[in-house]
Amino acid sequence: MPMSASKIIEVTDLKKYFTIKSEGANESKVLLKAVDGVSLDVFEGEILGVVGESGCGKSTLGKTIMRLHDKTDGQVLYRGKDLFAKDPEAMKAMTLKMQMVFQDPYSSLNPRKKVSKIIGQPLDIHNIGTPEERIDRVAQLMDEVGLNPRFRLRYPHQFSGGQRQRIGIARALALNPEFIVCDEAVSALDVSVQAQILNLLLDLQEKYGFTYLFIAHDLAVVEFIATRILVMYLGRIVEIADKQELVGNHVHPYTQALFEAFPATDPRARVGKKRIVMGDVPSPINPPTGCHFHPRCPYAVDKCRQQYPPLKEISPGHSAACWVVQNDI
Amino acid sequence: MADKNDLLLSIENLNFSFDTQRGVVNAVRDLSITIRKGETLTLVGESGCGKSVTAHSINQLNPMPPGRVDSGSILFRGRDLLKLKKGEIEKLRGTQISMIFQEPMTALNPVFTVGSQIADVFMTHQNVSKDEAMKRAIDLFKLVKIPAPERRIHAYPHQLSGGMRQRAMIAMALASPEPGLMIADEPTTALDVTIQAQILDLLNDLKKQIEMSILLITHDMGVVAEMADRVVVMYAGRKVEEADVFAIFEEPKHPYTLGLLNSLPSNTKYKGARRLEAITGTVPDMRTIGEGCPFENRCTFASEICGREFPTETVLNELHSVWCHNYQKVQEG
Repeated sequence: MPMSASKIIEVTDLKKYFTIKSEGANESKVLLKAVDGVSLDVFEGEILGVVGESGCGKSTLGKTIMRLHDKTDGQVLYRGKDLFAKDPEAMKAMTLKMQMVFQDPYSSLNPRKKVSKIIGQPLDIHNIGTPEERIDRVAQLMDEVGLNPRFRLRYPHQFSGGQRQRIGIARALALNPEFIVCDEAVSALDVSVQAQILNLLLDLQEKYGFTYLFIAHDLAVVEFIATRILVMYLGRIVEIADKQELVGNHVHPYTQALFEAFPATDPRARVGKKRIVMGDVPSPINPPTGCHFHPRCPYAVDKCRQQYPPLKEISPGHSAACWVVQNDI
Repeated sequence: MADKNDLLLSIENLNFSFDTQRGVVNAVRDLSITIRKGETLTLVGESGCGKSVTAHSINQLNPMPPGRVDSGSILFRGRDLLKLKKGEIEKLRGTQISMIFQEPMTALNPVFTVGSQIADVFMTHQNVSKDEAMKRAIDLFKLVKIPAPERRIHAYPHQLSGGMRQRAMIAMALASPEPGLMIADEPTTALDVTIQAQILDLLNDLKKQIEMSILLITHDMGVVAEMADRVVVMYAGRKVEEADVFAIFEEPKHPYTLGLLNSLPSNTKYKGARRLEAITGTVPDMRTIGEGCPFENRCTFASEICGREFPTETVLNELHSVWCHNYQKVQEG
């Protein structure tokens, strides 16, 4: 990443643990370390893709950066200011510039509110504009995301999945944000609609210079939209690099497994494909000791079973958390 | 075309509709497909295209009413399934036609162990003792590569991971004495990608070991590319293109097939690109589709006739057919 670009978000050693009831008979409380010591910077104008399988903590990371979850430990700076140091009122002012688009366009929109109310709600909360101005702004936002403003008095159920996601995006745009967390924003959509929404997100970024944290489990989507990609596994970053570098030269065994497992959209490629990872994703409640990936890793050595590897730069802008890759075994 | 003895299932001119409060939905229109012994046929399309209704009409799992078969026939090993009595269909379901579903958590019964659920299939359809049935269940667990099968058959569904549950369901589907057809309805959609890869591998391995045909329902072109021998592309209840898997990916002839492939961010043509060639618009309301081509409102190749008449089949070669008035324009690009 060019050093000249300024940092919008700086995350340092962020931890988010949940206390949950254990599954056993004794009803004891256990810790689920959803995000376990994540540090990253988000630079202005970039699309930082976050990819990983279910339970890897990618959504929790996004939500904790937005302070939708309280942190357990660590720090999140937004333009140098500590997000968690603020009381809720001051926090509200800061979040003007930070918005989120959610995965499920069904559950993330209040079914009892008209679309105009949903999109205009951020304006109401932050007391922006007169009622007439808000109506105009909602119409303009709907137009911006490709919804006919004539439908502003309809309810969410009267729209298709893709249109609902457009409503969610319009709501996120209402306050002119500069940083948007897209949490599986296209995962619930059919592929032809998904393509439309990806194009819309890119159009908006070009027009307004947004910075996105784009969280998705779909490698192909992240590979297409992101400028930089980080890969998470059980609460931690295992590899991070610019898109071209990560796609062309992924070194972490888990990243390699992800790329291998992802079905190629070329039927001729299926012959002679090798699969390197067997077994299930372990539970984040009681992750394996040492490197969390070692039980599934074909290259694991003793050190991997004992110590968690640090995330280390292996070439400029490219870091990986793997003892074998770091040649430190 | 296929040798007649090779044919396992043929659906002929199936019309299936649902009566809803707001009108009749013609979920499947004039659909014909054939499945040969040992092949994997995939039905691909987006939500609401009728792919699941088609699959469920084979073993009659569509709710009827509100669903109803308006016309057509479904021939399985020479018998018309639509003319069978309820008991006969139930017998077929456990013996020759098996099914795996998208969400194994909802398809398995949460209050019985997975082993006893599989043993039930043996006891119901093959009249074996409980001990023998459990023994066979363990064998099946081995076949689908569940580690520690002797222990795992005593597990309840919630004690297994998503991937293991899907393996257990596949094991149950294989509990038939003569597995002829396995219908797999989005079998990996709920799974993580590294687990999906394992399940797809397993299905391909099993198909080699057991003489079995697979009817695979999916919305994911990646899964199609990994699994299919032949592909039927559906849109809004209609079959729009049918071909071998290579032709679908390499020489798509229907504008919708082309649009689907162009919608994939993984399409190699997008290396370095910043926009996708998306299909504009949305799927039409199924209650108001007329006699024309349902894709007409989103199609860049549409001409006047498309709104009036659904095209007849154009046979391009023995495996490849397309239903489009303007497929030649697609060919020219």
